[in-house]
Amino acid sequence: MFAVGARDLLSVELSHVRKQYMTNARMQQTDEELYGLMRKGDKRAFAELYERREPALYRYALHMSGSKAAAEEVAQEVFVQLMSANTWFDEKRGSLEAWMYGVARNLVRVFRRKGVIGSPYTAEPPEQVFEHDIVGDLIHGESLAALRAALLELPDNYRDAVVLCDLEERNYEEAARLMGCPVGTVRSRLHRARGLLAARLRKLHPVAEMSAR
Amino acid sequence: MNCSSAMEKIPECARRRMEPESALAAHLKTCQACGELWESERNLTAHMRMIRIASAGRRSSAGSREALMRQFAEKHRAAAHGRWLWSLAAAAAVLLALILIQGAERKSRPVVAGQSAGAAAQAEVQSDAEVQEDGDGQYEGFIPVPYVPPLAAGELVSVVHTELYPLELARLGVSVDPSWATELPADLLVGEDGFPRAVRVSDEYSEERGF
Repeated sequence: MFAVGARDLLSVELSHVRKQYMTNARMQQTDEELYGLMRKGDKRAFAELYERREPALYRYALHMSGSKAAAEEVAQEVFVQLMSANTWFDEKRGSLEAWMYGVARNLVRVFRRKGVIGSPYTAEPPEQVFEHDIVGDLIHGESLAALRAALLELPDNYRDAVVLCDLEERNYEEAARLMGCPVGTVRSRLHRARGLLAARLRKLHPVAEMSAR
Repeated sequence: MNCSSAMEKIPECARRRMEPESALAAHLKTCQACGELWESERNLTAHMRMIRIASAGRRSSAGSREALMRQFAEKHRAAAHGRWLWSLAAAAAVLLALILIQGAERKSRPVVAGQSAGAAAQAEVQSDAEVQEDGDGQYEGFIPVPYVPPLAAGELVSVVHTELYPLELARLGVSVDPSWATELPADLLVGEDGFPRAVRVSDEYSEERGF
């Protein structure tokens, strides 16, 4: 009786360990490996790829488009295209992540061209983010909205650099890989874009006023 | 430090939220333009941080995820079904090909005198009723195969339709023309032991070849 119980317990334990091992193994797999499994019908690989990449893709599309609805649609469409039979992804030409960002970028452009994207989204301000920040008290809804509007008015390439480097905190190398351009180009685009955005903010809050505060 | 090098360092220093190095800090205190740039870059970085934090937890709705997962499952279920059908069709095709090949091999296998009953059974067997014995133990149109034991009294015989090469026909006692190269349809009179007792070239050939 005891032996049977112990065996069952061991079996459950082994099953748990195996499941844990599989989960860890899946987490260690590259995007491309997960993509390969996914193409063979592995739902877990698809789910893992989705969990790994969807949030950042959604945020990227949100910042690029300024619309929650568009962001959700773009993020979903990237994965629909990924699972479609005639996906153009070619591992030799770049990483899967870069391919996904490329698809998202193109979809945002299509949305913007069609005029589907409406007014910029409004986000709830985070709580106590700037409690020790020297300029924290300057930041309010008006200036955030102005910055978002300015971001959407930037040329696509500049906005891409700002979103990836400043909002998604990618380093220059990663941003260059995702944008498909040299590191130097990312750096110069980012600096120019920041110059434009800073100018917009200066109009709203003159520096003298900021310094005074 | 001059303004040019300060302006190169300011955006990077501000966006990394670093304190300016001593040379840059000294320059910022003395140069109003660079000081203003420094302040506006820091202000921009703070705003960017605000936007980043506000959107940090954002992602697609759970419904969107569920819809995708369902779509994935349906797509692969359909694909798996299609693959299964293709496998079945391929297996059927292979089976059909095997049957056809086997049939062709059987047809081309020469039937020699003295072959076993089992082998003879592969050929088409005619009913005994079609073969009429004449009075003295001979069958109509059949040439007795030499050097085989005679049929026992009352032994049942069967006629096997087959195709034989001229050489095989000659072995069975049929005179053949050496110019014949192809198989000829023939009937073998087979005893219960499976051994051919007599042979007959089919009627159409008999007339054509002058048997």
